[in-house]
Amino acid sequence: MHGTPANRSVIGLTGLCGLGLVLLSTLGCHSEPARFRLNLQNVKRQPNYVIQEADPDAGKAAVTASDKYQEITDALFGLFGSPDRPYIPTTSGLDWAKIARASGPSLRELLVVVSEEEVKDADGKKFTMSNVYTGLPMAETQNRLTIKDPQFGEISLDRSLPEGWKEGDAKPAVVSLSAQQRGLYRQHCVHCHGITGDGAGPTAQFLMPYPRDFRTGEFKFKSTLTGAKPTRDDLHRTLMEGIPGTAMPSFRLLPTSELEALIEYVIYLSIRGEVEADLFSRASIGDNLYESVIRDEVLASLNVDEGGSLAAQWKEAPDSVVKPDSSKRPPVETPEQLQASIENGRKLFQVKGKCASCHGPNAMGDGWQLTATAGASNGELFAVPNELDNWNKIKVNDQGFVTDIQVYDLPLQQVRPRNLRQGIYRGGRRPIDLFRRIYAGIKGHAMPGAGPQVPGGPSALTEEEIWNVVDYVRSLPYEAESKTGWGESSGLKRDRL
Amino acid sequence: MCNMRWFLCVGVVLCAAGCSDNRVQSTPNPSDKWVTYRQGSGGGTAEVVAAGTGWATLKGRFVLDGAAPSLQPVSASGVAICKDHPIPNESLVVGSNGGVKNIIVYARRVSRIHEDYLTDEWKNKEVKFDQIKCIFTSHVVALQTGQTLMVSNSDQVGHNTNISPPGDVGINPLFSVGQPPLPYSFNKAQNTPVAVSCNIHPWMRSYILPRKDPYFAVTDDQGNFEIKNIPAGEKVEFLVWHESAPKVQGAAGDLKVNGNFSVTIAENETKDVGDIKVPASSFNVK
Repeated sequence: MHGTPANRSVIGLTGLCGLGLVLLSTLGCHSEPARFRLNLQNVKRQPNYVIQEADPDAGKAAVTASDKYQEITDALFGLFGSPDRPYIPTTSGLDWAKIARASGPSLRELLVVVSEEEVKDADGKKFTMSNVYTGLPMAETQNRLTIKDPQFGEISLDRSLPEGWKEGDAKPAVVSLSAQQRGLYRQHCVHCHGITGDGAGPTAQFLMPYPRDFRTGEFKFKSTLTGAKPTRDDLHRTLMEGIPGTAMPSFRLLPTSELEALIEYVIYLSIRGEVEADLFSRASIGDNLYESVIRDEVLASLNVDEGGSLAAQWKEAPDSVVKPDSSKRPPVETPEQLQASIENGRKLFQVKGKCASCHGPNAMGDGWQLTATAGASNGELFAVPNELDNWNKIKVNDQGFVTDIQVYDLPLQQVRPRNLRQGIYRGGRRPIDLFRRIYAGIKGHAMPGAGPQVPGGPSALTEEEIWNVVDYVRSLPYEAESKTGWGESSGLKRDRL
Repeated sequence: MCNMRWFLCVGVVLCAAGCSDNRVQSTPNPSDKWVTYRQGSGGGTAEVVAAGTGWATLKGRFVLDGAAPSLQPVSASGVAICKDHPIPNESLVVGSNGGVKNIIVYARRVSRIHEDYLTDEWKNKEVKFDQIKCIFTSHVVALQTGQTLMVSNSDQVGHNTNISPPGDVGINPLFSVGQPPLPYSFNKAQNTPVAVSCNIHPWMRSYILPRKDPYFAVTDDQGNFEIKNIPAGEKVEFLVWHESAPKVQGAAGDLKVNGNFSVTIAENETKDVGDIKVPASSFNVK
């Protein structure tokens, strides 16, 4: 029963090896706090990237790329904090408490939320930033809370309500102190969308299409006008329904409060990405980001009261929702009426709406665009990289050749126009979803909007015509593939349109 | 036993491989200066301050130093209407005298703006942006934010005009034949031009640069540019952009252009920097 001494030594060594392995793994692979990484794709977008040369006359040293990366990192950390401790200026109109809830490691923790209002500690030190403190407070009394902050050390906060304070007055410094599930983004989203919201999480490389990179601020499936941001309802709908035909599942089982926290966090990541692109663009022409004038301009883009700012675009998205005029819906009560609408839609699909050039004359997603070519200076033809969305487009030059992709970029992925005979609609299958897709197009992709770009503006198709196309598109999954857009039905000849 | 040693080695290698993360390397840790962004105050003073008085004019010409490449027209064979027109490759347009067209010269930042540019008459100037014979009639456009860009389609074929400026509200209208023009304006100034495309005809390409100030010019057929009413008596930095040059480099006498150049012009002076010779190797033509 007992092992021989030789056997025992083997077992002993095995144990030692195992221990060593465990020890090494622990030492070697300790995880650093989560960090947002810089989006170096922004450098590629800026062909004129200027690294200033030394100017001895003005007493200026040379500015290197790493100096600029430092400036950008500083500005982003100041404005947005880190994945564990996010921050957003109150001027942005975003709900920072929701962002904090979606951020950080996935834990059930005690959150101490300090409001944006000025907070004084026992020594009279002022803090004008909102922040989240995780973990147990060091000491707590009814009127005073002492917590340990990695940035500022020990902070003693006054929790007492001001004299004469009553319900409805401005909130006291500490707005909440409760145990909540946080880290929702890392629990549900990060494996595909990545910690930075770059759509390049570990799973992303296996997916077609890739998960959304939030950093460009562009969202395909929304109810608003072409250029507008999606509404929170649009993002909520995407979370509830998922995106059919892609890997995006439904998160219908999560409580509403958690969905809302995730939506706010996606908006936060998106705004952060757009501000980052702006900072890279400024750095590319030699702007010094520490300069107060530049900083004020960057801060203005996070101010909801500044017309056209990023924050204002998100806030005003609900004003841009496409609402069809019900009086302009062609009647489709009888089979004859529906058939008339479908036939009209078929003609519009081929010619006026230009749908066939991408979706193909048979609406199978095989239009001539897929094989479009253009002439190079040497007389050779090259494929035009048109069937790429904006997230893939940055990877190729105008000749369609893949440019130097950074190691962490995902390989090029062509995005095909939808085969409309499959009956799978990524942005939703309701008639109103299809109407809005045709009316406003698909942001970040080639699909243009056939409706007005601004309320009351000129448009390629009228609302009636868009409904005709909707009826035609909805009839396609039930139609024989041999019944094409040309020939007897519409009197059109097969030609490139 | 041997197996265990081997296993251990693999473990060490795997561990080392797993821990190296290329992504983090280019992202530095924040320095103390992040605080100024959090507080929204402090930090450096303005780099551009009004140091002079009066106004001046800058003019010059960009010429190609070397042989102009012969660019083949774009093939649109098989595409209705478009196939009937020659579609020029506009990635480098050189005039008969060697002047380079479509270079944008624009001030990086100015301390003050001349009153002529603050009038309603100036601000209400419309900029035309048309599509005809399957090309954008304006290949390179510079304008001010808030100025109206009249996007239209005078062609016998449908187009779409995809303008997606980063950080701004873009448009991507489908333009059917005979559709009325669409007024559009930029809210946000850009530091480099925004590429405009027609996705239906993918060779169509144009560049629009919206700027906050009016100090910009696009070189004409002969390569000439002129910018009036520049703040005089102080250093003004100009950026130089061309779609096919990663960095426009060149020289005219003492003036060196390396993607940018700086000038200080005396009050009421018209400074002609002369011919700025840009080596043909600067351009990466398609």
